[in-house]
Amino acid sequence: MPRILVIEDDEKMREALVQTLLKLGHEVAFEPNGRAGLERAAQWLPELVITDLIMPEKEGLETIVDLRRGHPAVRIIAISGGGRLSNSDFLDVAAKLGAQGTLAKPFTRDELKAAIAAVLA
Amino acid sequence: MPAARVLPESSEPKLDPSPLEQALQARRELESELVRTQRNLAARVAARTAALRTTNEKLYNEILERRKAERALRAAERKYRGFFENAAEGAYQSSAEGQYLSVNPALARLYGYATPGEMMASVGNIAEEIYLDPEMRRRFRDQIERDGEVRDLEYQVRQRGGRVLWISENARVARNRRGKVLYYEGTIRDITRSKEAEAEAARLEQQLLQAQKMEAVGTLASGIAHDFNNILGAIVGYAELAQDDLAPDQRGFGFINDLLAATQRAKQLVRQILAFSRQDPPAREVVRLGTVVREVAALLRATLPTTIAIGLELEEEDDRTVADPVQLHQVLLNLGTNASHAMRERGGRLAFRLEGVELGGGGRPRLGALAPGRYLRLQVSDTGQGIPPEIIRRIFEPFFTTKPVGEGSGLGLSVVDGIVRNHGGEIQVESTLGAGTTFSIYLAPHRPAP
Repeated sequence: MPRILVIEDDEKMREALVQTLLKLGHEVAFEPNGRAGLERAAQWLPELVITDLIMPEKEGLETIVDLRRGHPAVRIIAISGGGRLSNSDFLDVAAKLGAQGTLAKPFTRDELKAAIAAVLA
Repeated sequence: MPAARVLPESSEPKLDPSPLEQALQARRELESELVRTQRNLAARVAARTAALRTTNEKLYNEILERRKAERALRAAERKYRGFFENAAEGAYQSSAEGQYLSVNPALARLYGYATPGEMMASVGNIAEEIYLDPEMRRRFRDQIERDGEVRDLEYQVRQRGGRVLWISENARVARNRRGKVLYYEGTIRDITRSKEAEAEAARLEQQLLQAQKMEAVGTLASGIAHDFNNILGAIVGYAELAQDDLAPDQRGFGFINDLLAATQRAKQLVRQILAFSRQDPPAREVVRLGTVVREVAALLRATLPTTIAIGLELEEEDDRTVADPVQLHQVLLNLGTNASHAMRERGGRLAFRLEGVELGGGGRPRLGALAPGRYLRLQVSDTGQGIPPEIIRRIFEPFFTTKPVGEGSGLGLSVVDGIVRNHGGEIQVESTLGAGTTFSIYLAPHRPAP
């Protein structure tokens, strides 16, 4: 099963997501922001990063750009609850910057499974 | 002068006066009397002549005065005539019953006639042929007969040819000494332009207000949407994790399904709120309205109770418009769902009607901000309970809802309104309590480049 790094600042959202991924049988690590996430990615070398977009310290779009530069092989799924622009706008930008998958929050386990399967295929 | 005179008899008897002397004496007396009388007469003639001269002078002066007055009167009338004939404002005299006694050329022109004569011959009854609302004439008469005048009375009149004007009138009533009304007279000014400008200003203000409200909602929405979706994400995640520990036949499993269904509704609500904050224009493609209607009708058929019949009347063959099909779906689904709510007690008929209509130009009524021309009109009608008149103006306001707490966010119709306006269209509503409601959406037809 692939190693998945979760970068998400909302604690409850992060916990639920990590628990779900563990349940699905993945090996999981998590960080609360982009900077910590990039450090962890450099050491732990995950196959997949699931990252939130609007976060303190280092937000998701920048994190995606740095991940693509430092770890070209890593797969990325961007997740977002929307913000100043509408939901799809941020996720569209994330996709343009190199995220292979996007999920608008809230998403179900089935949607998550389908997205993971699609980017790792 | 007397012809004979009786002489007084002497008081002292004289002795033996001769008859000759007596005659002489009498003659002397007569002569002196005559002289006195002549003097008297001359004085009286002189006096009478002087009196006559004075009278003559007076008469002459009076004639002069009168001539002067007549001249002044003629000049005044000429002046008044000129004023009446050449005034830029319309002026008239009319009977209290509503027949014109005179009108000036300006009024004739204003009301669409070539000459005052033509207007006088054509208009038999002011209340019915000039006033747009004959009831207004009654109010005009009440006021002018009570106060003696009306000042700056504004009302609508119908021009020959049907065009409606706004006018402002000043008028007074003329009465005879016994107080009987002789006629009304007044001046009339065309204020159509300023009235239209006022209405336009009010409409723009209303639009601005609505836009500000939408903006506030949008700001609020985007502010909370992010956090709210994170919370919903955690709820969905934990709910599904909890379900992992339960067998599908356990009661808790079903409860969690209900919980997940509720989060789906919350998710939809956030999406709806976010629709406000979307800054970029929606997708634009050529859409066949009839196709969208059929799709939505099929979707509603699958979800609405069988007590509600769905009818389609798609008359317009060229039903193409340029729109965001997803948003049009949302509009029709929203209106259809509202309609079904209005009929859920007793059932009824939900009808979608599509037809081409001409708006504005050639005396046809204009609609909102729409330019005159051909439009596609899509109507969604129900036979439900109707919307009370006191709230019908507010139904497009964000957060305005008549549904019980938890059943409606009050965003549905404001989203519908926002979408239709974003498409350059108009939406109107007509409703009769107990009979039903019809929403009419006007969209410009697609015109392919030649």
